[in-house]
Amino acid sequence: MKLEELYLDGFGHFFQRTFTLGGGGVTVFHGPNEAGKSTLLAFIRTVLFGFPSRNRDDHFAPLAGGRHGGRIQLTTDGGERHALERYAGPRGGPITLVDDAGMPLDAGLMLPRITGQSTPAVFSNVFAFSIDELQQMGLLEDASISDAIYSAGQGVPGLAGFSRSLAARQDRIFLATGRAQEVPNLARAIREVDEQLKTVAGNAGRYGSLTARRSEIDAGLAALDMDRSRLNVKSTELRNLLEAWDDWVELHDCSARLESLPRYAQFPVDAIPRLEAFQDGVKRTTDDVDEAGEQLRLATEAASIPIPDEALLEAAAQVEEIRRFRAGFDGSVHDLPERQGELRELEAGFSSRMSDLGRPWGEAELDAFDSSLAVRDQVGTWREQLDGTEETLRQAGLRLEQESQALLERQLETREAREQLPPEPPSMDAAALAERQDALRAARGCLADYERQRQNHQNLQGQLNALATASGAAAGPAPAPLFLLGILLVAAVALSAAGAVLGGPGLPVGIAGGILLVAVAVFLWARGRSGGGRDAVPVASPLRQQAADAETAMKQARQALVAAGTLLDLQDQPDGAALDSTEVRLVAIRADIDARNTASDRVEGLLRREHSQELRAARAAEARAAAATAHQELQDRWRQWLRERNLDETLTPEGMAIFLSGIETSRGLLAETRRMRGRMAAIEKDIKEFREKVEPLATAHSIPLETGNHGQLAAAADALISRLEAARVAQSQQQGALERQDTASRLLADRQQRQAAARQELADFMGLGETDDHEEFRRRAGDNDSRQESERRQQQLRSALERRSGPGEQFDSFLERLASTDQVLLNEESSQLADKLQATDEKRNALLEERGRVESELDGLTGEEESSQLRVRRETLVEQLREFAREWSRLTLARELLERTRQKFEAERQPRVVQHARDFFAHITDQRYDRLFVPMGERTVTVEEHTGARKLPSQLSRGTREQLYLALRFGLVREFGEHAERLPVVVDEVLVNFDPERARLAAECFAQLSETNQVLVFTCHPDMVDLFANLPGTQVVDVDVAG
Amino acid sequence: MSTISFIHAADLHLDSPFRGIRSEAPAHVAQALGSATFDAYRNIINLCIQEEVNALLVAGDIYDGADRSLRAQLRFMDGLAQLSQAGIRSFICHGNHDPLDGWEARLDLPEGCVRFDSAVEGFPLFPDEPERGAVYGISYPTREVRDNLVPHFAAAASRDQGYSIGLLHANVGGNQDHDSYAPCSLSDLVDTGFNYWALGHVHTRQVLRTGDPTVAYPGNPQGRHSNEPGARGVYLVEVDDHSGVQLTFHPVDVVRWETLTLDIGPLETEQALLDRMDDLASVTLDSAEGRSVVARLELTGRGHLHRWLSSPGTAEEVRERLNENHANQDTWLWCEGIRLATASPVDREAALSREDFVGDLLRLSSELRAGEDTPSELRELLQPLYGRREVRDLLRDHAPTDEGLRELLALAEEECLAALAEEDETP
Repeated sequence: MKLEELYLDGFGHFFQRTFTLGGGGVTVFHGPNEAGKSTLLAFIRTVLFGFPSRNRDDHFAPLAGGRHGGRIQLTTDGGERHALERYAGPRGGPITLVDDAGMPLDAGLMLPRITGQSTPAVFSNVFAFSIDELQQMGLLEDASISDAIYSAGQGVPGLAGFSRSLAARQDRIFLATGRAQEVPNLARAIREVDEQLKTVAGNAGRYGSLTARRSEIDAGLAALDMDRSRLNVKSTELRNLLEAWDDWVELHDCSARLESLPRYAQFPVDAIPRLEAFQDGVKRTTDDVDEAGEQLRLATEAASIPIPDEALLEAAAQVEEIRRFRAGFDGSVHDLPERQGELRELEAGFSSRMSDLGRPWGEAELDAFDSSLAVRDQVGTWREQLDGTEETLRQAGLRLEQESQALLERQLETREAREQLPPEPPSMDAAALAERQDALRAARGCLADYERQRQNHQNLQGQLNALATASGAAAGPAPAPLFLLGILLVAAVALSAAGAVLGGPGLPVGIAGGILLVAVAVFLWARGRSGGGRDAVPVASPLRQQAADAETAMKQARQALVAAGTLLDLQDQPDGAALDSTEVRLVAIRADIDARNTASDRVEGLLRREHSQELRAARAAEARAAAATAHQELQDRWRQWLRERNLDETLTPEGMAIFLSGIETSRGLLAETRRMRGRMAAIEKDIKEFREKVEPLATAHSIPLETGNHGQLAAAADALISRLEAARVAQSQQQGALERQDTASRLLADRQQRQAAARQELADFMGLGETDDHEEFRRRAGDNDSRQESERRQQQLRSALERRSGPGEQFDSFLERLASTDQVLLNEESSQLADKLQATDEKRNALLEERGRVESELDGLTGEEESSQLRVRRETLVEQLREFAREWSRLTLARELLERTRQKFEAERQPRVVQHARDFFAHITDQRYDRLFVPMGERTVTVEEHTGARKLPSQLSRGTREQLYLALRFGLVREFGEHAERLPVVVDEVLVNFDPERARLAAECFAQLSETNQVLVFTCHPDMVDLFANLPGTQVVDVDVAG
Repeated sequence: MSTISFIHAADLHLDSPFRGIRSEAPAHVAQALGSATFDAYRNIINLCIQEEVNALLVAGDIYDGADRSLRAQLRFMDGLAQLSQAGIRSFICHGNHDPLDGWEARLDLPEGCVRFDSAVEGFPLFPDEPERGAVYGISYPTREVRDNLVPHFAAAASRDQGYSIGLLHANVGGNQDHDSYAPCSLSDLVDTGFNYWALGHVHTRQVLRTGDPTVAYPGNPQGRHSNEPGARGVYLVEVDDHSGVQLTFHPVDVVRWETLTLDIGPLETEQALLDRMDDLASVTLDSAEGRSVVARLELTGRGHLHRWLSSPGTAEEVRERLNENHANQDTWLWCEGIRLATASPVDREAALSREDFVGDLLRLSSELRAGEDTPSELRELLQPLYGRREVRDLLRDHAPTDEGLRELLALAEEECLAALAEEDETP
């Protein structure tokens, strides 16, 4: 592949820069530092292999502008010409590849072939490198150096590290001589688990023996339980006999005692208490009969006591009425004198108030006087009306006074205005003055018209004169000179301006004059252009006619002006000044007329106002008189109203209101007096009626009473009330005694019956004991109780014994057994049995304890999860072991693969690489080092001097070591070129550390290499340029000036 | 004939450990795994009682060979005792993993339980109504039973037995995934005239034939390693005159095995991988019918993440991260290991044509994989490990086969390619 043209659109400081590369030999790019040589190297790398992905500082951003990237024109070894374009972007930047005809190609497919399947790393390390890469090679030492060299050639810089990583990982898993790696560790762990599993498996066997022992124990326990049961039965029997022994003895005694006691057939149970109970019953009923008899006696005595004032009970209703009015009577007697005093005070107050009304008033007259609300309203209305007419009268008076004063003022003003009128009238009246002013405006119009016509005539006449002068100059008029045309135009402008400044009629005149002067100028200019003289005569004829017409018009205007002046009393043809003087005079006359008219108008106005004021004063006087009349009439009607009510005529409505208030107060006092009189009458009536109630009863029951003595009347009433109360109490007591007497009689009869019954029961009870003697009965009862107690005890003892033995034959046998032995024998027998039982229990307990241990151990075995967990752990460990084995196998095969590849590479590739390198290195060192080789099994390059001395790279000087690495690269370039596309070699300042001679020889090697591969050399040293320039076919490109 | 119903179970492998787990499980997971076979068995017993079936049939491999722990036997008997109390009969036979000559605790069978001996016998399903149906079965006397046992059934069967069921632990049709114990053909079974063949031995449920007879493997009720994924359970078999035989699968497993496969090809970042992995785990848990899941993460495809994943310790970190998010909850998903089957994004074909070290390496690798003598050469390299005395037995069945060696070689090549060429190709 050869690069033909580099186009840097925007890359570093290059902006749209093109470099054209020569067809053969070495191309040297020369330029000072920072000229962009390294940038060009990077550009080639970038376009061919893409922009760096990230975190690199060699993007060479477009500092001078342009799109980041560019294009390379190239030719493949097969002669195909392509344009490869790449710009910055994702995934190395988008790439475009087109053929010579501009047709796009599949860059993804084609580019690997074009670049010889090379990678960026291979290209950078072998084909396109700088002094930096070359020196880095020299930095590697010892064992790593060979890998590094291979790496340079193989494009796998990480090979050494990867090999070490594989080995380390592999050794961590398994090492034939190691014991601490994953595999032996796991193997040990599995063995330990297996040992534990064996132990657990033994547990299962233990389970069998334990279950067998448990069965034996269960059988032994069953036998012991049977023995124990039998002994327990025996023991229970003996215990029963021993426990029953005392009962047995007592039973025997009880039977003997019963034999000695008499037997009564029907002797009652609980005889003594029952006997005593019956005796108590007889005594209790006897006491009850005595108590009832005493009650009857006391009641009979109480019922026989007489009732006092029994007759008063029949008049109980009247006495109760007297009781109800008794308190009221006391109140009336007490209030009577007090109320009488109050009445007297009221009557005195009423009399005093009535006298305040001005004349004697009777109660009937007072009652009849109308002081209703209607009357009060009437008085209010009267007051309002009288106040209204009085106010109207006052207002009318004030108005009259004001109008009279105003009239005096108007009259004074009128007099003063008359005194201020001008003494003389003006010289003409207003109509004459208006005619003169119209005539003045017409005269001014005529004057302007005359001046315009005169000016027109004068201009036309001037033109005619000019034409006449031109005709008189023989052949014809000469063309108007330019200055004349200028003057005419200036004059036209000046005339128009003057007209504008003057204003009024001057404006049209000025404008017309201006237009005329312009027309003349145009005419003159046109005539000059056309050659002039031939048309002079035909132009003059109409001009003369126009001049004649203008003169006629001018004369007519003058006549009109003279006529207008006559109307203004002006002689001859008036000029502007005359007209101005006339206008001044007319203005003065107008001022006089206006002053006279103004003063006259004021006097007239004042006279009209005076007259009007006179009318208003008269109307005010009439209004006041009418108000006075209305007020008087209303007062008359008021007095008439008072007379109709028999009241004092001097009363005003306000006084009438006060009078009505007095009437109301008097009426209140009269009503209060009347209420007091009624109350007095009621009190007296109550006292009288009370007496009428008390007096007949007092007399009937012999109670003394005097007429009019209120105190004695009250005492009589009280006596009647108390006597009635006493009679009532006595009556009630007698009634209660009678009721008690009846009750006591019935109670006595009842208790006497009970007493008889009790006596009969006692007799019947004694009959059961077959005696009527109480003491004998008691003795017999004692015997009977002893017998019954013995029988009951005998039964209890038999029952107790039967409970121990069981019923029926067992009981009989039990009694026989008791009868046939004694307590000593039983105790001995029981002691022997207890010993046997204790021995049996001890055996049983021992077996139970052993069974508990067996059960516990069995529970442990049956509940164990250890074996499950161990098996899970073992499975996991084994699986891990297998996984590690698989991983180790993979790593082992990877290492094997690497090793075999390395051997293959060394065997099949390195010799050619080294051979090529040796040739180059020998040439560069001028045959000083004529051998270069890689010893078998070693990873280092060795060089040999022609003397036979061998050296490792580390033993070479820096320059020679760089020459060696350069030679190795040349060898690799050659080698790769034999198998794939021959890529260009691009180097940057790689010869700087070489001495001049070796630099020259190295340059020859570059030239030699350029026979197969394009060679681009970047340098800033002129010596280097010269070095290459001396070689045939070398092209030098100055980076600074190129393009 | 009135309705007959029974549960057909097999291959309980009680108390046998889960296989192939590469990591130590956290305590709660270990606890669940340790009791998983028992819990699945408990679910079977509960199902029998809930469905009020007439019988439970267990077609062999109740225990797991040397792992026939005392605990397993006691638990098994407890379950049968529960059935007995519920009036449900049980018929059990032993297979190659729990033959009759294996160690056994002296435990009494509960009432109503029939354990078949080493000769075919028949027992009525209903002792009071022997004409309604019978179960015939046989247990392996020893592990190695290589004879066809079906003819013994035909000889033992009586005519008036009603609905006849054969209970047998056998490899029908030569299933290559299982050892060929008691081998027989489907036609052998059909020719016996039995109505139902309750088989055991094959751990993946399958109905070999429906009709008369129906021949079925219920599979094991609890998956125990990554090759036994998905739902596991038993068949509820209902037989009546009208609808014939009807099989309904009931999952009884408590822990599911699943393989989460993830292609790293489209994934650009590590975070994307972790997120995708979490999503996958969540979906797997959601579809596990409330069961916890033991998962193996299988990463495949070519991608930039290969290099990161291949770096030492990374896969374990990824696994731990997955477990942190999903293993510490009531219904958990625990990743027991990661299978890395990824590759670098290097274009191998392009690299193969390169004239450099990588190109040489790939060409050499290709030649090795194609070479006939390669396996023996490579096996020699691995001999120091696989021949090592203390691990020889443990690795005997897991030494790489020829194909395995080629696969390993491919992985080794991939490792080299990722390390040497991926960086090289990175601009």
